Amino acid sequence: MSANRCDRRSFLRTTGSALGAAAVLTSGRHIARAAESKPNLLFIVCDQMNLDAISYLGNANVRTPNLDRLAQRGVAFMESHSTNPVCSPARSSLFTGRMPVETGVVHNDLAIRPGMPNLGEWLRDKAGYETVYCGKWHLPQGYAFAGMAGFRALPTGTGQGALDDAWVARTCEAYLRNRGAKPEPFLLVASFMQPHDICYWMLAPETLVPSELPFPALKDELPPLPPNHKSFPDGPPQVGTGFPGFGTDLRWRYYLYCYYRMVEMLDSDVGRLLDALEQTGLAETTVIVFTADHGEGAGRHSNVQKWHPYDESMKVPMICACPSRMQHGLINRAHLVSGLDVMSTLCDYAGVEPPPNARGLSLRPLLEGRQPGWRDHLVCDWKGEGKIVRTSQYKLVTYANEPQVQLFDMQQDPWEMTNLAGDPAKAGVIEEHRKLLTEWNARMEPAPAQG
Amino acid sequence: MPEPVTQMTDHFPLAHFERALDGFQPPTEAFDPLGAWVNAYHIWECSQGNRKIGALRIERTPLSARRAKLAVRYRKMAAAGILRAEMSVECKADGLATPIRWQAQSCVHDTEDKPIEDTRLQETGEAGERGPRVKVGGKTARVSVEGPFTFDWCLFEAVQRLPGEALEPLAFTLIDRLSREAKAEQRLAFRTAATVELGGKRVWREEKQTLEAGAVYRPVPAREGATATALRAYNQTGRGILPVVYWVNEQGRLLFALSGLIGYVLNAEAQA
Repeated sequence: MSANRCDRRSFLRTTGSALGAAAVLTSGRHIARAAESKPNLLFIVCDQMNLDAISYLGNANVRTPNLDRLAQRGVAFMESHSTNPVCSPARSSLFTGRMPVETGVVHNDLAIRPGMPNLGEWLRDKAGYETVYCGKWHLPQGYAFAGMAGFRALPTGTGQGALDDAWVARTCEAYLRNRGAKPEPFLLVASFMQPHDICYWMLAPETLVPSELPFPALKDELPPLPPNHKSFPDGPPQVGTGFPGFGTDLRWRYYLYCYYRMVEMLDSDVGRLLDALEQTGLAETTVIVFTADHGEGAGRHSNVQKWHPYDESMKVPMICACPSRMQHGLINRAHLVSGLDVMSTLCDYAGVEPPPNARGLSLRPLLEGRQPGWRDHLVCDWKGEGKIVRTSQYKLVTYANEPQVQLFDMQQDPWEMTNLAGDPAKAGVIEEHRKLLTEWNARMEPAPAQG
Repeated sequence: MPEPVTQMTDHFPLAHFERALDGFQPPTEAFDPLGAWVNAYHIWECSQGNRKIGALRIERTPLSARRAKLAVRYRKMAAAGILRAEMSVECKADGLATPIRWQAQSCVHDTEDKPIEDTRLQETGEAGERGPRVKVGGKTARVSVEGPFTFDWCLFEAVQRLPGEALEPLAFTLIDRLSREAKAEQRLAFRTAATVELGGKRVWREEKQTLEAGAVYRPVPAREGATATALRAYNQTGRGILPVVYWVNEQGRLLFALSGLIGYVLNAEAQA
């Protein structure tokens, strides 16, 4: 699969807005391989962030100078998918490289299956890393705590990104500045809440998103609604028809305004970490991976929250950077990547094999400008209600206990507005994708159900 | 004609914080925003529930008619520890309480309130002609700002001295919560003046409404034991923040700073 295979159209539909020419420039230069010593690793996880909520990727409704500079230093993937658009299941994959059905974390507030190593345990025990965690965990404890498996905890975090994230960033900064020279490299996980706070806007729509714009001066600054805001493709009842609680376009647009400010809060906190790396001389050699557990409805298909099989929930940012090792300023639109890949990628840079049966692929060849063989499809769960099979052109959504499926042509219909499943001409496509799903399922090692 | 007395539920965002304001006692003592004072706030998090999650204490000491010192203490509970921060800021007595020089430190404490030393961070800073400069870990960096700048905690002081409806909107850059990341396009503007029933407890009263078919009674929210308090409110909007509404009383004292799910509520008993 070529990196040029996705055209401008497919990129625009992913970003959802006009794209600055600078954003697609690729340095094109290959980076000299750094010394093969184990690099420090900074894994930044955020919560409920759309892949396209970054100004560098063409979103004019948000300003993210720090995520922009991170992307300019590395590679941003435009076909990056959560394994399951729910916090705990997605996180269980990020930290094990296994699907939620295998980790046993098939819904929120469950623990990773006993005996399945997490990223911290693996890199500490197999590669000699100092492993440190700060912020949200949710597997099942909400936040880093003393005695968590695999990590030393920096115990900051309570629940609201607007209140906590600045302190998570500051605490991580303190760790980086105070660490001094140690023989062992570090894996630092900075796990931010934002822009997850938006979750609560739907719980109190009357008081948080009132019918009259609470700040009239913002009227001209409100983001536009997405093109698929009123689109409800055919599907079984589980798909739903969006969130009914806002009612008017103005309220939806204020909701989006708030969401993007939360993304900017996150951006500021990421900036603090990048600054700390620069000032401590670690910026050139530290491998940074930035991603999210899942996306956010953001008014697409009139959705809020996650929980949906559509891209607003499924797609997440995936930005990797390390100036001494990776390409610079590359936006990869061709390769399907998954939250599963974080474990394999970090293990690769740490110089160890990933745990047995890790399902992901190392992104390292893509990050360093090589052309590896790559997957031609990936599978995601969505809640416990179905599965998604994604190939470069199509996306098949299946539903548990429901014969009806959805099929979208992601190249012709990037906003997922037309379900092609009823088109007889697509029967073969559906069958092919079902076969891929069957093969994938056969490889899984499901965990016993948790009580 | 006297201003009508309104309910908290009539005002954004007071309505969202109504439960956090149960029992709120509006201060009655004299207050001079330009004098020496202490304001202590409970920090409320109002999402699915309402919980006090920390405290903020700001003490102002006038240094001259044009300058003051703010001593800030901040405490926030974490799931498995406590975050403590302190800041001392010398600032101007202007509309933004513009910082002149400052020092700050923060540290995470464990569940027994013992500091975790490698989470300690100290910094000093000063305003310069080309923007603020911050020294941390022995290294100095310049923060890129456009035009005036201030800190969030300085705004808690500054809004108390603003002239209400006569305020010309202020444009500035925000540096919040001991950050060194500038948040641009901030705007502080007058929002409203209103007399609002504060404190007490929410009750429902029946209100008679006469229709053609006869009288009907509908429940309307009210507050029992509340105090009608004249308030002024200011809006802060900008990049990287959820809009903030600051509510001050007639003497200028900041009673509430409310933003999204987070509320700072004046309470002399709040311990930072």
